[in-house]
Parts: sequence; C-alpha cells; structure tokens
Amino acid sequence: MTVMKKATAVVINEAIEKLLGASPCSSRWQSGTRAMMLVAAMLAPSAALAQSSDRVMLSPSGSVSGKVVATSPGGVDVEKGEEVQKIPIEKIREVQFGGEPQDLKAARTLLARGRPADALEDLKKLTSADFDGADPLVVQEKEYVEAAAAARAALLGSGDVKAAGGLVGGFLTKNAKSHHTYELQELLGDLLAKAGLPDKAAAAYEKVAQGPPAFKVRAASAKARILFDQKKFDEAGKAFDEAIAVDASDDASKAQKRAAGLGKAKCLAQAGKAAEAVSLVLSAIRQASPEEKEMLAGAYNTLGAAQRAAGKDQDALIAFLTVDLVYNSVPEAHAEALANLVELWQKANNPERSRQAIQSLETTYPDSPWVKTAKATVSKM
Amino acid sequence: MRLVAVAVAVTLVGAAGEIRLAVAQDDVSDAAAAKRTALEVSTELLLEKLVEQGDKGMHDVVLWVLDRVDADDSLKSLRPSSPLRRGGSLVSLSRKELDTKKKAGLLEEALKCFDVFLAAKAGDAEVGNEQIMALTEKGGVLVERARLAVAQSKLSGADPAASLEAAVKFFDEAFASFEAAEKGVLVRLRSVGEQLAAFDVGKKADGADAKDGGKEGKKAPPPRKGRSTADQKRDAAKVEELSEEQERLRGQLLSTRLLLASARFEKSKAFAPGSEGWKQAMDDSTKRYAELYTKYGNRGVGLFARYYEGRNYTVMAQAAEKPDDRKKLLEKAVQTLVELRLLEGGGFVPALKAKAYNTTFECWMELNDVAGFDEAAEKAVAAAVSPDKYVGIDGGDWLGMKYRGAALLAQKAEAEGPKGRPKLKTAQKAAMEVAKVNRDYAKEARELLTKLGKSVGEEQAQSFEAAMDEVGVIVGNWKSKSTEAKELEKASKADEAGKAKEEAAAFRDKAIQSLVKAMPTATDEDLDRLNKARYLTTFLLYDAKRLHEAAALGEFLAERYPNAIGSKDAARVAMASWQMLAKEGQPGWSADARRRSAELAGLIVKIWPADGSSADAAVVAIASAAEQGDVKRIMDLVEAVPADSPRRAEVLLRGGSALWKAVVDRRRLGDDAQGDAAEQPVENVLGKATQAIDAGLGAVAAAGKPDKLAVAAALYRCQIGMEAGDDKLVLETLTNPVYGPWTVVTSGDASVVDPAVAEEALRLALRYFIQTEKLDDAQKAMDLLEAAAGEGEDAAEKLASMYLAMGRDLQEQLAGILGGAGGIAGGAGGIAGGEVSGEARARAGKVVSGLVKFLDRVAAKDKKVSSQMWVASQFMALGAGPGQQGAAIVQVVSKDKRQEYLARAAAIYESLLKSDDQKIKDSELSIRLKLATVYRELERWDEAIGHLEWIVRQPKGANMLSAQWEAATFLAAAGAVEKDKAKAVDYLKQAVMGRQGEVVFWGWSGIANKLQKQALAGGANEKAAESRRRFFEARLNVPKTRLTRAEVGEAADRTKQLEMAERDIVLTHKLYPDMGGKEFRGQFDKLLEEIQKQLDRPSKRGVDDLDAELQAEQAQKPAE
Repeated sequence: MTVMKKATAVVINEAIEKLLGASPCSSRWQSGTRAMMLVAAMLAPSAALAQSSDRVMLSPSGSVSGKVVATSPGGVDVEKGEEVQKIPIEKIREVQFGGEPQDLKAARTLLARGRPADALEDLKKLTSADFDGADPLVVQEKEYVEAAAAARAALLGSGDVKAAGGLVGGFLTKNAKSHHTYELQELLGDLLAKAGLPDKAAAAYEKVAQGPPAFKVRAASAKARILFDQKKFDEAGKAFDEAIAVDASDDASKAQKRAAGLGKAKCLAQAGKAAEAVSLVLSAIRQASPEEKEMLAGAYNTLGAAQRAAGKDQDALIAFLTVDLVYNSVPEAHAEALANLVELWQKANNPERSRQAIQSLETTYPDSPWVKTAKATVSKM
Repeated sequence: MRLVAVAVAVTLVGAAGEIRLAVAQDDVSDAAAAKRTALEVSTELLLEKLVEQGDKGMHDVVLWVLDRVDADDSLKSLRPSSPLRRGGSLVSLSRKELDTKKKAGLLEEALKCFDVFLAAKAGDAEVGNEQIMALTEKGGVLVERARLAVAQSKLSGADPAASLEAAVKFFDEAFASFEAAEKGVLVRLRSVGEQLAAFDVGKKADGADAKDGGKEGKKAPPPRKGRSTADQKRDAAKVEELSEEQERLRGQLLSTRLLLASARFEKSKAFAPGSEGWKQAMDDSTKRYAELYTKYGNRGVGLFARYYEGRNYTVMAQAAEKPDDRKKLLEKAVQTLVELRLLEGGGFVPALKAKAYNTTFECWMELNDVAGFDEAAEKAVAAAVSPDKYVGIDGGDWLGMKYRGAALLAQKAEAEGPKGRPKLKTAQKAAMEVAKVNRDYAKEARELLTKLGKSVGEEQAQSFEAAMDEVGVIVGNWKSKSTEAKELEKASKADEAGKAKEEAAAFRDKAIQSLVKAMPTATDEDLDRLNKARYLTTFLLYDAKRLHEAAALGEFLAERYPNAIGSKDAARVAMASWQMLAKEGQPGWSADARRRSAELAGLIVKIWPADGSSADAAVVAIASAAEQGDVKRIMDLVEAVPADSPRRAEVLLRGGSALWKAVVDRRRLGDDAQGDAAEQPVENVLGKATQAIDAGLGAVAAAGKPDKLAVAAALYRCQIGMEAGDDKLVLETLTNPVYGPWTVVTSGDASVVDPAVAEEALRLALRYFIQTEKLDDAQKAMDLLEAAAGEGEDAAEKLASMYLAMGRDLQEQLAGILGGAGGIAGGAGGIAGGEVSGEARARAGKVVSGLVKFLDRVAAKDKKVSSQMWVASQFMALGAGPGQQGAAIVQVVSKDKRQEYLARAAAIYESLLKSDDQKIKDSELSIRLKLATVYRELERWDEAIGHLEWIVRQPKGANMLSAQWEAATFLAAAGAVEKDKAKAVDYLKQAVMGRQGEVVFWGWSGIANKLQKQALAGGANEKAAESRRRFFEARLNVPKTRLTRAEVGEAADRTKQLEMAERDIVLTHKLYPDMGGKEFRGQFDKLLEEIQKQLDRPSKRGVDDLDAELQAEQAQKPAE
C-alpha cells in the first residue's frame, strides 16, 4: 500500500470512528430538533398530516397499512385501529410513509432500483417547505435515503467513500432507534471494506449480527464476502459455511442461508470446482420459493458464472437471460447479468444481441460499475 | 395476383401466432397454480419471455432451454408442452431462414414436434387449448410446405408434376389439421356453453353460429335461491371467466374457418389455371368465403371473407376463356366489394378498404371502366396520399391501390382538360409515393410519372427516410436500365445496349452519391434502414469497381452488424472485392488484398458457419492459410465446418489436402520449416489431414458423384497410406468405384481428373502395383503413363521427365520407409546413422524385390528406348552406394547385389549405345556420363575414363559441368585406391589441378573457378543455390583431395600437401567467411582439424578461430 493510500485510510477510519462515537452535543441537537418538529407537527394542520396511512411492504410479498407509531432496529410498530402490530425487521421490505413528499418516495424507489446517483438528484428537489409539519420519521427517512444513496453510490465507484461513511455514521449516531440500523451498519461495513479496512468492516458487521437470527447469517455472509474480495476463496468458503451453520431456521434465516450458499458456490467456482458450484446453486434454486426474486436473481447469476467457469457458455447464457428477462427487478443482479450477456453474446457470434445488452445496461444502470466492465469487454473483442 | 398471395400469407401466419401466445399465457397461470419449484417457474417464465416478441423473439434460445428441459428430470413437469413450444419456435425460425432447403427442414422438424405433442394428447378426454393450437400450427406449417413445393415446381431442373403432387398432398393434410382444430374448438365451445347454461346463462351451447357471432355483451347469472352472497360473487366471477373463454373460442373458430377457406384458395395454385382441380379449389374457397360473410357479416372475419370472395372472382376472371365470362366475373368482383369500399372506421378497416379498392381498381382497369371511378374512389385516393393518414399501412394492397388509383385518376383528369389539373397533381403524388417505396408497382408508377411529365428526382430529401425514398427511386431506375441493357445485349443490339449501360451507370453513380449523402442523416432509430443502405452502397460500389471502398464497407457490416439484413451478402461482396483486388489490383496491394480476403473469409466462417457462402469463404481461407503455411488455421477451419454445411465435403477435402501438402513440405524443408508449420507436431497434422480426407471422401462416396477435388484428395490419401504401409487402404482407395484415382484414370473419364493428377495417380499406382507385385497392373500403369506423354514434339521430354519422377517417387518411398517420418528427402547423406527397424527393412525389401521383378519384366518385354532407359536408371539407382542419391538403398540391398544391379544398368546402357535410334544419338553424352558413373562405382576405371574422355572430346561435352564433376570425382576416387604411388599421385594431382592437353579436365580448382561468378552472384532461386552449393563443395574437395594425396603419396611430399590443404581452407575462409553455410563450415572445420592433426600442430585452429583472426585483422586495418 502506498503512503498516500495509508494516509487516506487513516483519515477515513478516524472520521468514521468519530462519527460513530456518541456525541452529547449532537444528541442534544437531535432531541431539540425532534421536540421542535413535534411541536410544529401538532400545531400545523399541514397537508402531509392529512394524507393517507403508512404502509409497510413485507418480504417476500404483502403489506400492512396503518400508522407507524414506533421504530427500532428490530422492527416497526403499526397502529391499526386500536391494535398495534409489531412487524419484525427481517420481514420488512420497505416502509412507506403516508405523509412523505413524492420526491422522497421516488428517491427511495430509485435507490432500491440500484440508481443511487439518480436518487440523490431527486433528493435535491426537496426543500425545507416539503417537510413543514412533517412527522419526524419522515425527516429521518430523508436522511436515511441520503446516507444510503451516498453509500451505495460510493460503493459503485461514483461517490466519495469518506463522505458517505460520514453520512452513514452520522445517521446511525443520530437515529439509534431507526429500523434502518442494521442495513446501514452493513453498508458502513461495506464502505470500510472498500476503504481497505477489513477489520473495521468486520466490527461493523458484528453490530449487524446483534440483530435477529437472519441478520446473524447476513453478517456472517458479509464477513465471508470480505475474504472473497481478498481472493481468499478457501477461507471465504469456510466463512460462508459458518453463515449456513448459524442456529436459525425461520424463513428469513433460511433465505439468508440460501444466499450464503450462493456465496459458497462462488468460492467453489473460483477454486476451480465449477461442477460442484453448479450443483450447489441448482440445489438452492430448487429449494427457493419462486417469490424470492432477489435470491433467485443472485442464484442465477452465480449459476451463470459457475457455468462459464465450467466452459458451458450456452448454459451460462440461459442463466443470465433468466435474470435479464425474469428476475430483472433486482438492479445489481440485473446489471451483472447484462454485463455477462454482453460478453457471452459476443462469444456466441451474436454481436447484435450483445449490443442490445450493453444498451440496456447503459440506459438502465448508468452508474453501475458493470457498465465499465462490459465496455472493456467489448473493446477487447 | 401477387397481392392475393401476400394477403393470405399474412392471414394464415398471423392467426396461428396469436393463438400461440394466448395459450402460452394460460399455461403459465396453470404452472403457478400447481406450486412448482422455483427452477420450474423460472424456466417456464423464461420460455414465455423468450417468445414474447413473436418472431423477433429468441427462438434459438428457446430450443436450447427445451433441450435442457428434456434432459433434466427436475423440469419434467414442463415436458408435456415441450414439443409444442419447440414446434412453435422452429416455425418462427423458419420464417427468418432464406435458404429454401433449410426452411423446409425446419418446417419438417416443426411438424414432427406438433405430431409428437398431438400423439401424446390423443388419449385426453377433452380437447384442450394446446391441442387446438398444435392443430392450427400444424395446418399452417403444412400450407407453408405446400407453398414451398409449388415454388419448387417452378425452378429449373425440378420435376413440376412431382412437386405439385406433393403440394396437393400437403394442402389436403393441412385441411385435415385445420378441420380437426375446428372440431376441437366446437367441442370446447359446447362445453363452455353447457357450463354457462348451468348458471342459466347463454342457453345456446354453440353461439358461434349466431348471426352476430355470439357477441352478447357481459353476462351475469340470475340470482339463485339458497346461495350466499359470497357464493353469488363466486358464481359471477365464474360466469365472467366462462364468457371470456366463450368469446375467445368463437373468435378462434372463425379464424380457423377463414384459414380453411384461404388454404383452399392457396391449393388452387397447385393446379393449372382453368383445370378441374383449380376450379374445384377456387369454387370451394369462394363458397366458404361467401358462407362466412353470410353468417358473420358484421364481424371482421366476415368482412375479410367478403373481400377474399371478391378477390377470388378476379382470379377466376383471369382464367376465363370467353371475354364475356371474364367481364361478368370482373363486374361481380366489383359488386361484391362495394360494401367494403364504403366501410368507415379504424382498426382493420383502412387495410381492408385498401384491399377492396385495389382489387376494384384492378377490375376497372381491366374493364377499361373509367366511369366506374366515382367520387368516393377519388376521395379514397386523395386520402391515401395524405401525409398523416394511415401511417404504417404500406403493404402491397396499399401500394396497388395508390398506383391504380393514380392511373385511373390521371385518365379521368386528362379527359377533363384544364379543370382536371388538381386531380392530375393528386395522381402524380400518389404515383410518386409508390415509386419511392420501390416495391410493388414501383416500375409501373415510374412509368406513369414519366408519362405525367414529372421528374421524380426533383423532390429534396429532408430526412434520412426521405433521402432513402429518393435513393429507392434511383436504384429502381438503375435496375431497370441494367436489365434493359442485358436484354439488348442478348438481342445483339450492341449500340443500344451500350447506351443503356451508360445510363444505368449514371443512375448507379447517382445512387451512390445520394446514399453517401443520406447515411450521415440517419438516427439511432434508423439503424435497420441504415444497414440496408450500407449493404446497398457496398453492392453499388462493387458494381462501380470501387473495390477498396466496397470491401471496407462490406467488412464493416459483417463485423459490426452481422445479423443485419444484407450483412451476409455484403460480406460476400467485400470478399469478392478483395479477391478481385488481389488478382487485378496494383502489385503492391495484391498481397494485402489477399491477406484481407483471407481474414474476411475467416470472419464469414466464424459468423455464418452453417451457411452455403461460408464454404466459399472456408475454401478461400484454407487456400490463404496454406499459402502462408498456417497449419493451425487450416486445422481450425476444418474443425469449424458444421456437420450440416452444404459443402462440408469440399471444405474437408480441400483442408485435408492442404494439410497433407504441409506435411510433405515440412518433411522436405526439415529444420528450415518456418512459423506455424514447424510448431505443429507433424503427427497431429498428418492425423488431421487423414481424418479430414477420410470424412470428405466418405461424403463423396455417399453422394455418388466424384469430382476433380475428390480424386485428387483420394490420391493424397493413397500417398498417406503408402507411407504408412497400409496396402489394403491404398488398394481400396485407388480402386474406389466413385472417386478411386485408378478407377477414374483407367475409365478414361477426363472430366473428373486433371492431367497432372492423373499422371501422379498413375505413378503412385505403378509404385503400389510394383511393391505388391501386381505386375500386370504395373505394366498397365506404365503403358498409361507413356500414353499420357502423348506423341507430339515434346513427348520424349515429357516421358523422360515422367520416368525421372517415377524413379524419384520410388527412391523417396524407400527413403520414407527406411528413414521414418523425417527422412523423405532422400538426398545425399540420406539416412545414414539411423537405426532401421526390422519392419521398415522388410517393407523396403518388398519394394525393392517388386521393383526388380518389374524391371526384369520390362527389360525383357518392352524394347522401347524410353523403357530401357528407365529400367537402366532404376537399376542404377538400386545400385547406388553410400553418399549417393538414393543412398537409402544401402540399408536393404547388399553390396554384391548393388554391384549386380550396376552391372545390369551398364549392360543396358552399353547396348543402347549400339542402337541407331536417333533418340540414343541425341542422348549419347548423358548415357556415357551415366556409364562413367556406373563404372567408377564398379571400380572399372579404364571403362569409366574412356567414356569421360569421349565426352569431353565432343564440342558439347567440353564444357559440360556434370561431366567435369564426374571426371574430378573419378580422378579422386581412382587416386585413392591406386596401388601405384606415382599413378595415384598423378590421379590426385589431376583431380585438384585438372588435366591439360587433348582431353581437358578442369579438376576441383578449375570447377570452383568456373562456378565462382555464378555462385557468388547472389539470388534466391534454386539454381543460384545449387551453384553456390557446388562451388563450396568443389572448394572443399580441393583440400580433401590434397589430404588423400598426403596419405597415399611419398612421405617427403606429405607435409607440403597437408600445409597446402590447410592453406586452401584458410584462404577459402578469408575469401568467403561464411564458407557456404552451416553445413559446409562444419565439413571444412572437421577437415581442418584432421589436417592439423596429421601436421601434428601443437595448437589447433578451428573455423571459429579463423573468424576471430579475421575480425582482429580487420579491426587493425583502420589503425594502419
């Protein structure tokens, strides 16, 4: 590592550490602001308050409507009439606030679609007037989208890792009870890993592991990913095995374990055991529910990669086409599949389909690092 | 009538396609309901998505996926519908296929799939939607096959009766399939009707026969007693679902009936117009259309049926013999279509109106009834040229309506005089639009425009599309003028043809200019048209002999847009351009053009491996790779040729032959082999050559048609077999009834064998028959060879050259056997030092034994001079000793035997010298030289020198290098063995310095001096190389002979001779530091070492030391 890189790493580390530490000053500011906002909300009969109820989108499908009255890292409480329903975090796909501005909702959708840079652009359209009298949770939601979009953009290579780390750390410090806590902890870990601080990243993932069982599995997988990115495929494989071995059997954990299984398969493919990898992924696909679109998108990409490693390009094409045509609602996976299709169609002497794939990739995911990969592939051919 | 066919095709194909999608969607919801695994659901959804875009879908990928469905048990739930999906995709792929044979193949395969599917469903209690779809698809495919058969009947060389008979059979099978589909729909309709009736809804089970087509609006079940609110909701939902299904089935029923009527019309094309079969098909079709209109006149299907009924009358009118019948039918058509011309509305109405007007206008033109062209018709034409109206309608009917409408309107306007000017302008506009599209009726429209005095080129292109319209008109004119020029040429009207050609060239150049101007204005959306423009430009540039530009543009298309329409043809044009440039271009560009041609050929093979044009490309690529010695590439090309390539055999044979030639070259060049040829193990190349030739010959045998290529390849296969000692294979190949070289040559069929190949085949056969002691056949081969030499002036020379080649073949064969894979060269030095296996010795012995027997036979029976000369030369070769040409022989022939063969050679030559034959007189010098060599070998010195002296006394012999060489060799050899020291020294002295007097021998020094100029003049040809080789050999022989003299001469002279020998070498080095190359340097070095050893020098200098001394000496020069 060069001196410059070391220096940068130290700066990022310190900055994030600082942001993560509890600051009485910031805490006071937070409570004060919240109080002011609550007062404002009570006094101002704004349009926002008069709007429709909140809606919690469940995973893999379904929703619960009502009023979100409390949030915590473990889930959200939704008031429905006289009852309050507790929805655990592992079952929540998205929380939509009835009173949130349209641009905030659009930004969150773009974020979910893998277009963080566009999400940030949408956030810029929001003004303070949009939050006049708004529920503090809506304000918090804006900060979440801002931090998460900055983090994802940085992870995609189009943003500043340090600045993003600052935003994420800031959010976590300010909003300890947010239902986004585990997600942002994981993002923080990802940023630290990208900054070349695997130990710090592992520490961040440890906080994710404090969540429900499914998050334990997720945290273990995230740690395994660090090893995978370091090209320590055997060690990563073992780490994924540990994730799979976590003592949990609820549906959410099972889904996470299947994802870990895919990680394990990637390790096998990289270690030259392509046939074993293919077998493992196919087994995971057979066990999955057809509704688990995110998992299936990843699974078919892993399957395609393993089949490519095994020299079965036609099978790989089918796998990546399955993501492109069937499971294309998962942005990162879709971009990855398209990039692979660009190369595979070229190899299959079908440059027109290759061109269509790269056009689709560039148009749909302009910020994705896969665009660069695909372009490099095309220029080599 | 072209329009009619187009219309029916659209109807038939469209109907089937829509049904397929509808059923596919049903299947998916069923799948979801059955709770399938994620793998099953994913695969099902993928299959659905892949065909979502109809014919533009990824049907090739569908076939891959279905292959996996068939192979993977975890996907077995998808298998029942697999043949149906496969069939559907094959049908879609067939629509993109331009090759008629391949298209028919795909349709045949699709038919099988539908049959498999239907057979599997045969036992089902109820006919399902999928079966109906399969039956409809099958009917459509059968109609398509029938159409192909009708088209086939019109091709030259086809058997029209058989093709039309096949077409009728296909049509009848199609009717059966459509009728089964119709029946299936009716059964389902009845079932749905009964279910609805249970809810007291839709009392009539088969509502399809209702006048209004069963359109009854939304149905709701009447409330039933005892049903809860929830039950009633469920009932309503069920009724709605059943009603929708009923409506869909009714539509399907009508479509199927329309298909049945249309297919019958199509069937009429399988008969001669006016014949009984034709009449029956036309009447049947017309009747069905009329029934459909009567029953469903207010539905789209009924209205289309009405149009086709009218259209049928016009077709029947064309075939009517009596003018009155014809008139009545045309009037009936006009009357039938009147209702359709008055239709108003969107959707399908504009297209249907266009059809009706087009046919009506056609009838009016036939009837010459301008009066019939009423105000409504005028309005229809005016509306058709309106820029915003009817966007997207550009079919043949639309163009026909506009052209015919313009023609009728123009007639009417002309009759009205100045008042009719606005109509004239409308007519001009309509004709211009048709000309611009440049498809149906474009020629007629251009003629009309000319008549109307309108220049079509005046309109300015504002956009790419408009510019391309303009190009279309110009290209149309170019085509038209080119055709005209050809016809004039045929009619021997040279002047007019020349003028037409000039005009065509002017149109072509204008088209290129317009295209070049138009292309930069294209946007991303214009990509397809832009690529068409690029293809068109490529072709026009080629026509204009702007070959570099044509090649560059064609290559661009092939590389960047290989799947664009015209790319394949553009690539072929580009390759043709490069080939033409290679052949006729400037010398400096030819090599580059050849290389580019080969690269492009490689690209074509890669992109379109299974296409017919790919074989041309592969042949070009193989030829180029062979020229460059790129063995790996030839192997790749041979490997890449698809199993179903139409010219697979040709590519394999050419590739295999090129590989075998590479093996031969490699062995000939040995260590000098360059590049890839040297990198590939020779065994691999030989194996691949054998494999390719065998596969190619197998295909030729199966086809039963030999050609020159196959015969030549068979000859190479024999050569490989000979080398491997595989007598059985050689015999089988030589005598194969289809391509066997011996079979072909002895049959006298010169059309399948080149003369050079025939000669080589005979030489090979001769060798084979000799070694297998089939002496009668060997004699026959020899006779044929002599016959092949002919009887003209060059015959003797040709025959001599043939005999020489035969001798060389035999020597090479022996060397090949004895020397193994690397020893085929058989030159001086041969295979000395190598161990020869018992097997090789036995094989070589067999060859020698067969040859001797054959030589005995020829010597005794064939007294022709040429034959005797050949026999003598063969005996001479068999007697060759170590270090001589054909030295391999020493491995299997004992010294005594060799001496015997040499004596027999000498006896034959001596007897020939006694002949009065002029041929002998002409060859006396050469015969005597051979005798001198033979006698020297036999150590019969006096006889040898006698012949040599005779030769050099002759005016032609005095400066004969070969004789002087033999003389020096003789003197050196004689000196070495002469017991008398003085005589020996004299021989050796003469060997170096030559002999003066009446008989002049040059000696090695003299020979070297004579060769010096020629040897050192440079030059890369073989002659220059040989001079150089001989020069250094002569210089080497000088010290060599001095060394011998030192050894055999007086002791007092020894040191002097050795020192002179040493000085000779040092001087040679000083004058020619490379000393003739690596081989000679080694020999000089070895000789120097021996000389110094004999001189007892304390420190020895090698040639390398001489290099160093020379360098030091030269380095000192500037200082001095």
